[in-house]
Amino acid sequence: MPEEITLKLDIYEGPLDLLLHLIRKNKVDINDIPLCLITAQYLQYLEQMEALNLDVAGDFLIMAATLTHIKAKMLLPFPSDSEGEPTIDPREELARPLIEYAAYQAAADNLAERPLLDRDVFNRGGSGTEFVGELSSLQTPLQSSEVASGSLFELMEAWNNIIGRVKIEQKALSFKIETKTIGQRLEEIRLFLLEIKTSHFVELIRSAANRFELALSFLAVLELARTGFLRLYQDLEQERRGPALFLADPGAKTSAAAELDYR
Amino acid sequence: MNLKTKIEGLLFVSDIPLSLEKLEETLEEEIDRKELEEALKELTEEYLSQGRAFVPQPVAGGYQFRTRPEIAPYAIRLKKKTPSKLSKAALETLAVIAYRQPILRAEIEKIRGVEASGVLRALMDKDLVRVSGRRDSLPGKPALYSTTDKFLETFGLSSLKSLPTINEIQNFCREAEPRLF
Repeated sequence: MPEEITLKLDIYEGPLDLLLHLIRKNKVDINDIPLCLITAQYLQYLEQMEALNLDVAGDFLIMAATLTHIKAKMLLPFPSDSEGEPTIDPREELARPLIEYAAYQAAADNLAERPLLDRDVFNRGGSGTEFVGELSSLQTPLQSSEVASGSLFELMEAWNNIIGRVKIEQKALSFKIETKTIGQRLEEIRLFLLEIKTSHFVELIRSAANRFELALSFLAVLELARTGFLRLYQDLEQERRGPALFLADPGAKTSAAAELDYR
Repeated sequence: MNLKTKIEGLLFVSDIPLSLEKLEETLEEEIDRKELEEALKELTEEYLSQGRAFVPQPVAGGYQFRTRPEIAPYAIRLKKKTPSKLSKAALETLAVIAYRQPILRAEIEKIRGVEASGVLRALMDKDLVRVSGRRDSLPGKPALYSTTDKFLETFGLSSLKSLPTINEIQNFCREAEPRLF
């Protein structure tokens, strides 16, 4: 048991972080780690975590096993090459990842020291392009008949882009369960578009209360596009693709959506 | 109006970093790339020597007006929001991805020795990291992660090449901590 009761327990990022700390603290050479000492201190830290009722993550336990395993290997003679020279120090399997990890920690510190946008330096109007959505100011690309193609990843990226723009208000905890179905949302969007003809996706999700409602609107729009009720437009000229513009397709069967049976 | 003034105007108007290509395209005249770079350099020196509050800076493959660090405390007060802070885990994961991209989650976890899905999700939410592809040769085709343009913009990097190499970092650290590297 340690002589003094330590109330403050440093939090380490993981077993490698803890090991690096111990190696630094004991001022030992990474290529000549005194395993008895380091393993003992490592296990002591794990005991402290348990004493404080902290969950010891599995990663820490695996490393404890690895340390013990290497310690056992150290008791056996190293395999030798043809000239009888010992070849592999079992501690190498510990040292190599530690050296690599330490380099990335230094790289992370290097990143943190850079002038950060919106912390140390600022650009005009804040970071990221805010959605500036006046529908009237947008040109409807009706003339263009070019079909844009995209992958699932681009779709996912577009989705992440959109939910990044929308601030979801934290609402007070309530126990009412949302029961809106995709069919209901689909009908809402359909009626909305029939009236105003064109809209940005962001307009459709402005009132969304949570991620579930965002996803619902997203799926409903994809479904409406699939059934030909609306067309999706996107300004490919922009350097960063803007939010998609939706258009109720005048030529489309307006009943298409209604035919779908979603519950 | 001289070229320098035109560039200044375009840099002011653009809300994203303006690349040399975009500048050429927008100016619609026959301009030598060297001439353009020279004008940008002159503009930057002018801003610096006059002690202006903002200066054109090379970020994410283009140029953008950015404030001097001394402006930061006022800018933060004006914006009334505390600057978002990246955790140690987030920074380490970003560093690993920046140097090793495209990289699998399992490879990130191996280097850091801890599970990475939570921190990856947070970095993707912040648009600093994206899924850039899949490793088709592996079962389940696991996702490959890369850094984004927003990453370059956030850390004020012109490109990934503006980062010191991991070897340079190691050599630098070796001087400070010879026992560890």
